[in-house]
Amino acid sequence: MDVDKESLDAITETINIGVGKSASLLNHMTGSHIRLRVPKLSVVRFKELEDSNWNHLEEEVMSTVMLEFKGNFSGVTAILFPPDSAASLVMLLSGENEPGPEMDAIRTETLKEVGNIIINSVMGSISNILSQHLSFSLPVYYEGKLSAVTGTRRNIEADGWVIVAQTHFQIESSNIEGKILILLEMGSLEHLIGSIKGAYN
Amino acid sequence: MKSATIITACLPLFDQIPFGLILLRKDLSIRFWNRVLEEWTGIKREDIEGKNLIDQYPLLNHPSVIARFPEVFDGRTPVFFSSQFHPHLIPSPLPDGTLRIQKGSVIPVCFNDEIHAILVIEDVTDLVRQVTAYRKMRDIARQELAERKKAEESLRIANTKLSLFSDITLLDIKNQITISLGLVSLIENDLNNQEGIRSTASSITNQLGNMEKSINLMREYEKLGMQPPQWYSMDKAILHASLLALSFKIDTDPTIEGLEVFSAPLFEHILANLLENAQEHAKSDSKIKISFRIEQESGILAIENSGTGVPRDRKKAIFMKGYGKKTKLGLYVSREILAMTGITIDETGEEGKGARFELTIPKEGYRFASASTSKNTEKQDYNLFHSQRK
Repeated sequence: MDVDKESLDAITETINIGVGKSASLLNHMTGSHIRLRVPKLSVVRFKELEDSNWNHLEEEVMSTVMLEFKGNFSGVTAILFPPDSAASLVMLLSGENEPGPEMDAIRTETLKEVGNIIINSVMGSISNILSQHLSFSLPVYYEGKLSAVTGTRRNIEADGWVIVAQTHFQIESSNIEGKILILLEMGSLEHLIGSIKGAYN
Repeated sequence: MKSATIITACLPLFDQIPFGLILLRKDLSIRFWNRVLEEWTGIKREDIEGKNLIDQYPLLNHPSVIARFPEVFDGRTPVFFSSQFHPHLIPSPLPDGTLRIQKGSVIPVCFNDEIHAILVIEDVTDLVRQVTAYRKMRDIARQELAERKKAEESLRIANTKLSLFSDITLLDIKNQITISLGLVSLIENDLNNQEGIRSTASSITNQLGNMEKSINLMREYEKLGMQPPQWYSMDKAILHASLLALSFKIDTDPTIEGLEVFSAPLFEHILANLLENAQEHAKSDSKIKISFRIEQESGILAIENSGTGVPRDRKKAIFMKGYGKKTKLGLYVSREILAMTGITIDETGEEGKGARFELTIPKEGYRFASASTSKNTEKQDYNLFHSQRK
């Protein structure tokens, strides 16, 4: 299945609406000026994540918050950061003044809430497009390689699609890069694109 | 099974779980308040059920909380509240009077067609305290490690300098021995010349005296390798230096009062050396003036007199290795020791008007006694100095 440019633009816009909402909420929560945007979005096969463009996701240890969703559109949504970036993000958002790059129990919980806010907003935007309720799990935090994160999800197949949204956090004068991955079960992308075309046309 | 029946069946279960649990309707009215929350808050369920959660806990009426309930009721997405952003969701005192630290999760549940939210609140006080204690321990360990590394580096540099200074002094002693042996030969060659023997013996005594001073100086050098830098009271250091240099015409400026300087060991010997050098270039009746001023946060300690001064072409040379014969410590060695705590030394006097030695001390390397009444130990001083120099 080919994802045409119009559909790609529509998915990008949908996700940008979600991250925009989450930025607004994070601004309220932290009192910091936060800008969140998705400058680049790709739709690739899950097995392509091992290719050169994405293999850092496969090879590097990442701090990940993820939750599963079920319905006509099913899969896993995850937000991933290199651990150092995750610690920096938590410190910037919470105003925590403790030095050190470790993601300890307090920081992982904080990142879990931040990830929960972003993922909920993004999935809320997608749910609106789909005009249907999805069922979600509670967010979980995981630190490890992507293959280990997704390995236990039996419904994610090598030929399944992954929406990879590069996410740019601008907080005060700091810039932090993360990635939102929406790993889809078979048939879900077709369902999403069909709904998007219906909504935007 | 009807909604009410399902809920009624669940309530005993909700009372068994070891977390605080609130069952909320979409209008945020409290449908169930579990036993753990009764214990934590002292509020009985019959006194709170049916009331609006936000009315009971107005602090929850904040966008970070209230704005997220629609996600649960409308989007059916669970919401997570971390202890960092929401440490006291439902304020609950501990026996010691402090509030429990909490985290919370809100899960949508549908009983027949009515959407509810279950707010589960966990007490993470112990976990947060343990992590906080761990962080403190980790920071202390890191700080101590960094300080130990710096101390080791400082001692390594000191030992390198010590080796260098020892070489210089040993060379001096060897020269003095050579001279003494030459003088002994003179006596041996003319044993009948009583007057000559007396004069030569006096010279040998001087050489032995010089050797003794050199050996004493070597002992002082050993302090460099064993003792960390420390704060020197200028009043005491000047007094000590004047005795070492036998220089008593000193005019101490009021700016010196209470001044303390952070230096490697032998600071008094360095001052004595500067007094000797100043004396060498002074008029016989002139006094040596010692003053202090601050320039761009650095402290400038000036030792000056009126006299011939140091010729312009010798201003740099006097600090070079092997320069000068009269001084005990030598300006080269003095400069090297002062550099260990970031102090630099220059001769800034005008030829024909007088000599002026200026020590430029970094801002963390000087203080006034009023600011240091706590009398820190040497180790604390050393650590303070290095932490300020980061």
